Amino acid sequence: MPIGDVEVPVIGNNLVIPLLVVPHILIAAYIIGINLIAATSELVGMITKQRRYDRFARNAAKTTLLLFAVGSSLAFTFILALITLYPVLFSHLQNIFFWVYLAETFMFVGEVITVYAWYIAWDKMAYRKNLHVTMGFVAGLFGLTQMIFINVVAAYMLTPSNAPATEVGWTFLNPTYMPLNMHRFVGNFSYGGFLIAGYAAYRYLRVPREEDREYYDWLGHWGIIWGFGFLLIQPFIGYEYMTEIKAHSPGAFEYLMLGPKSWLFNLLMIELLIMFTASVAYCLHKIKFAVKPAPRLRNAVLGALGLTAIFGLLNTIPADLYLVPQIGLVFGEKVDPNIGLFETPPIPLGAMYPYKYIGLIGLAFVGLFALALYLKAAAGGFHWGRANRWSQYALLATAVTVVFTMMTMGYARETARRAGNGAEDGWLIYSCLTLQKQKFVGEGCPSAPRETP
Amino acid sequence: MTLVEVVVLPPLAQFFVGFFLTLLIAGGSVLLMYWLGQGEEE
Repeated sequence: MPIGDVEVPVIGNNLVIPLLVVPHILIAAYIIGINLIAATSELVGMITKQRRYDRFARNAAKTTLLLFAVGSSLAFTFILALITLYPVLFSHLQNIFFWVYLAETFMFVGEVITVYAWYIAWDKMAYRKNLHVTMGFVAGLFGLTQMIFINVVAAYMLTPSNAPATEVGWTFLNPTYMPLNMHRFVGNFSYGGFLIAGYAAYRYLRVPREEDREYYDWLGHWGIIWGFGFLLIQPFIGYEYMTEIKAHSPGAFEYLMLGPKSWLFNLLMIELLIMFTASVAYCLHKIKFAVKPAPRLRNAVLGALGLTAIFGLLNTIPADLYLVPQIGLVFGEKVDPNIGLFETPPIPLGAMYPYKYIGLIGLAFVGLFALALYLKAAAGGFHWGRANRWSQYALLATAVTVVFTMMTMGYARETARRAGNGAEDGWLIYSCLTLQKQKFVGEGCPSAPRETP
Repeated sequence: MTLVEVVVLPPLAQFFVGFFLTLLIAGGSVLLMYWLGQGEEE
């Protein structure tokens, strides 16, 4: 049997990889995000002497430990599946990115050692808190560096550099490498923050003790600051990321923005609308419990909530009614994929320029305004433990939505390589290595023509 | 040549199977770990 001739029944070969990678990413992104948030919380707790920061950091470290094994098992299984099902791709990547994989491995080992030591030594190092906090940050940085290394490979597959594979600098620093790093760096914090907020809400609604209610009310607030705060930057980084994809893999860009998978970005806008609106609504509710009453701040945040809904809804308007062709959700003409930026699509309000720009920039700035007012109110302190259940439902909504957003965006990045190689095929490495037969094509990637073994 | 015809779901069915299996694997592992971690100090 020739290598790579394994056929997986029922789900097919192509589905094996995402089935392992998406759960892995959902867990790994959480670990990276929460590790750094927890280390920061421990530092804040050390400085302010408020016990709740330390309580959260310790529990967060515990969840990191519990989930680490599952996350890494999925990663190992994924590598096994990749070698078995896509041997040409893997050997090619292994040849180009040997040093990246090696460094990745050491970062993994470093993270395992430090994160376990960090949790186990919590009590033992209670009087050496500086060192202990440093250990938490080192563990977080190992995780972060691990992500930065694997991003080299992930970015290369979508936008390979037009340079020989032996040009290490060109292959490593490929066009979407830095935008992807920024996008995932910020995304991990936002994702981790919203999940903390969701967990806090779930516990807040269930715990009977007043002390615990106060703690989980505070934890929801702490989570939303991270989640919402970092989410505000994402539209700008995401725009930069898409701009690089447009410049270097235009087929993939069109496929996502105007082609058969443009519904992914319509879906993303709905998810952003939910997360932004729920976050601002939560801030509005919490300001009511500020120790120093702040009716003017509250009115301003109420206005911000209205604007958030308007800008968010503006973003969700599609350019045409050719919504999801894959399931037959088609009610009108498809927009011309070569439409100019200043031309009008079938639904004028769905045009990228100026409406989506207004919507995205407006959403980010109004969100920033609302968060700033919320933080101003929070500086004077809140009466914890009094939040109503609807505010907690808002937190739960952000947590559920952020999981779907991660899945939407992960799917978008990978399905973008379906473009530009016929309806039935796609690319493993964009414009270089085909998906179904694993054949190298043309020059440029690698720069010299090469035959598949 | 394969001895047995390998049956694979159509792409749309694969998408939905993938979606729900992803949620099941990720959600299931988180819930399992949550259950295992319960009972310790919080």
